[in-house]
Amino acid sequence: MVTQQQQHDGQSASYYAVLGIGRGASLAEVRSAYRKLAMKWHPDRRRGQPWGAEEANRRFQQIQEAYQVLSDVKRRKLYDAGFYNPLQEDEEEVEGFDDFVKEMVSLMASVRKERKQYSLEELQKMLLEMAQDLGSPSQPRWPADAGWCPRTSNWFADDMERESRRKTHLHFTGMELFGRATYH
Amino acid sequence: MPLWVPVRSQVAPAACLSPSPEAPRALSLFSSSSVFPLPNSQCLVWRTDLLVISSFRMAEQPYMVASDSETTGDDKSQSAFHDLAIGIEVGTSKCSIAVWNGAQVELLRNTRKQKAMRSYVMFKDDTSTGEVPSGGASNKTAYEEKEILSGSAIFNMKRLIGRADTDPIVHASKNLPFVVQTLDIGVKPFIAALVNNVWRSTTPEEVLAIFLVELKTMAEVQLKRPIRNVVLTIPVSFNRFQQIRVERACTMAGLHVLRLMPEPTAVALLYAQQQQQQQQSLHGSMGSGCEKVALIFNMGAGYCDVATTATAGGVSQIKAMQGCTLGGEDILKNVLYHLLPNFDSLYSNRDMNKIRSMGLLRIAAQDAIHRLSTQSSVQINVDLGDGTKMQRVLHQSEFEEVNRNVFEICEKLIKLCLADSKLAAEDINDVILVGGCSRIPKIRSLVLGLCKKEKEYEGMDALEAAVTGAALEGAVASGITDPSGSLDMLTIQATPLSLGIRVHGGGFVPIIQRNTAIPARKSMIFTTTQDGQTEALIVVYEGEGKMVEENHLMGYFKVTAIPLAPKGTAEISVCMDIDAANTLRVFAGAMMLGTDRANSPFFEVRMPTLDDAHGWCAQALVKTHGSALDLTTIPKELQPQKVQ
Repeated sequence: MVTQQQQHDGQSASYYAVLGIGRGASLAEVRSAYRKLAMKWHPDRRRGQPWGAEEANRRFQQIQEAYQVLSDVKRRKLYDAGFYNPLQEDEEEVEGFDDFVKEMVSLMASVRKERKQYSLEELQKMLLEMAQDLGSPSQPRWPADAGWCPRTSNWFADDMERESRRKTHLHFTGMELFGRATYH
Repeated sequence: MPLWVPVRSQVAPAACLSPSPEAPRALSLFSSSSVFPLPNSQCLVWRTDLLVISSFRMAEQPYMVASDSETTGDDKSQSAFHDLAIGIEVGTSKCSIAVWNGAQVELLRNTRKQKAMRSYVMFKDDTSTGEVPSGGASNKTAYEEKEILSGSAIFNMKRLIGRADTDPIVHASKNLPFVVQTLDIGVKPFIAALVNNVWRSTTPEEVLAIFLVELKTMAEVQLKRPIRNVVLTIPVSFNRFQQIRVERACTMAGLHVLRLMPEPTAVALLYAQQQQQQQQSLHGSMGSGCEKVALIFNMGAGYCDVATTATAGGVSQIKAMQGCTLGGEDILKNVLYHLLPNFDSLYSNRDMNKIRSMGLLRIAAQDAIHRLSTQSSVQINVDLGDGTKMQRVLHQSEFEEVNRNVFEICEKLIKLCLADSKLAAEDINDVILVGGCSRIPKIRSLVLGLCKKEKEYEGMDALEAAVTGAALEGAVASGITDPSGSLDMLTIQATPLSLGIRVHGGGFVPIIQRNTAIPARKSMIFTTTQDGQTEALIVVYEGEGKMVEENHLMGYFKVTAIPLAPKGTAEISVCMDIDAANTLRVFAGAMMLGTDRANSPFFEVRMPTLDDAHGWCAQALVKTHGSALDLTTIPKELQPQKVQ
């Protein structure tokens, strides 16, 4: 099962798991899974059922977010590469990231050719260097310890969201590196 | 005698539920459902065949405006059909009611067998006729268009409701036969109908409420059950402030709004159902089938809406919506000014004869526009009764020329909607044209041309599609299921306008972007602009402008207990939540420094909180507080990574 495999590689239950599809799912499969889950979880379809409206709302929002990313070729590519941030919704940024990811993917490919196994930390370091080449590096305005790990407004979060955030943690670390380098 | 046949001696339909409809009992029942507190301590009471405005005082009924989201649970114990929401479309010009009858959607007819009823309320002197006020749905009276235009009737309430007297649409309504007065100070306009040669004041909500009472009673008599829940269609461009006004009018009429549904999304639901049925008959299965994309163009007398929907497997997903206040009324106005360039000065004094001739001209122009849908030129012959006669020919080309601005706006809306939904003309499978103005040849060719289609989608009645969709939604949202699967439907709505807050310098920062699927929940972190700032104003706006002045002020509140810190370091979390019933709640509060925990209890505010005088409040806030309570954004990479 694909989902099992995903849990194995630790890359998160992720948007793919939210929609219950494999990483190789076609656009039609993404759409079909989304519609079936929407039918099941949209609050309009759950009137008078034991699950609370709040629960339905949350589940639907997760499904919606996953669909929004996976149904869009560029966003999906970013997400697969671990760079998608739901807040980076500007079209321009998605485009920019898209180009960047292409470059990174080619770098990864050349890395593979060298048959050298890089650790995640090494890859992140490389990425940081690349990002600094791309943007104009300057002193971070924020103390280094302030923004390094994903910071969240947990006040609203329930356990499920926290869980999904933990699972998607990895995706955003790289994003931050990039974001940090280009926004100052 | 059937229980639900209205009898003159009985007080109200609601009272008929009582086994012994003696007066005091009936009245108390009545006060819970159908007594409408009106301004000036009047109460509007519905009697089976007439409405009376009586000035007796009753205990003030608290408005129970829309606690939509909390309607599950207790309602469910009753039989499903008892609570089945009906669909109502109150158009600028016409209105209709539809209901799921257990197998399909059925449009109700009034006693004159009309499915489309004229939207107006006639005010007449109660002392002489006892018929005040009554509208187009009324059983007894069928007013001629001439009477409706006599100044005694209020119509076009959909164009007036929830607007301030600075609104250009309100100003444009001043050429209507009834009185619309504006003082241009950002408050509710003054409107009045002519009763016994006196201009009697009313409000658009009150007029809508009176009209809804008629519709409600008509439906109750026909369906032989009390009606409480409704799905009402609204234009895409209605802001939340206008929506609240519509909900309030419904509450005054004893109706509970289950959903306010943008008109093209109601059409989209009907389309989804038709596609579903088509695929079932083709493939004999419930398979989700292939996705179909439709562009819906809806233009009635008052509003123009465009929406795109992707549908498959009974799910209608709204991709984008655009709308504006543009419709047959504007086309009519253009034609009137073309026929009579000095229209304004001729009718500014509002004497009875002038009003009458203005009415006659309106009727003639409207008729000409209708005929131009099938003819290339029409003859206009009208005796205005004041010694002037108008005899002339109006050509199609002339008509198109005077309405060029209207067509340009239509074009712009369609292009914007396509761009928002990231669709090219080639991606669209069907073009659906609905609403009265979609019969205008120029508009048809324009929409089809932009979508590169030869012909429009068939199988939908242009005037009934929206109300049919609303009734479908009513059945779905009431939790009705159908063994044949024809109610296995879902509309995934999107929010047509962005929602956000004001930041330092008067900029607007959207938190929920337009066309976000709802239910939605998004949050953002803001920070202080002053050293040691302990309080911050959260000023909520709706709209697309980059600066707050261009948008609609929804309300404001103060976040307190911000920890003492240099400017730019404290964190204030602002979260916006729209539930499935489209209710907007804003949560905000300060975080403990360097943590993701709240510093003190957060605030939860349901928006809008404002009534009138939007502009004033925003200006007054700035005047009183300057930038002392301002917030500003923080860099994106420091925003929470996972929203919800």
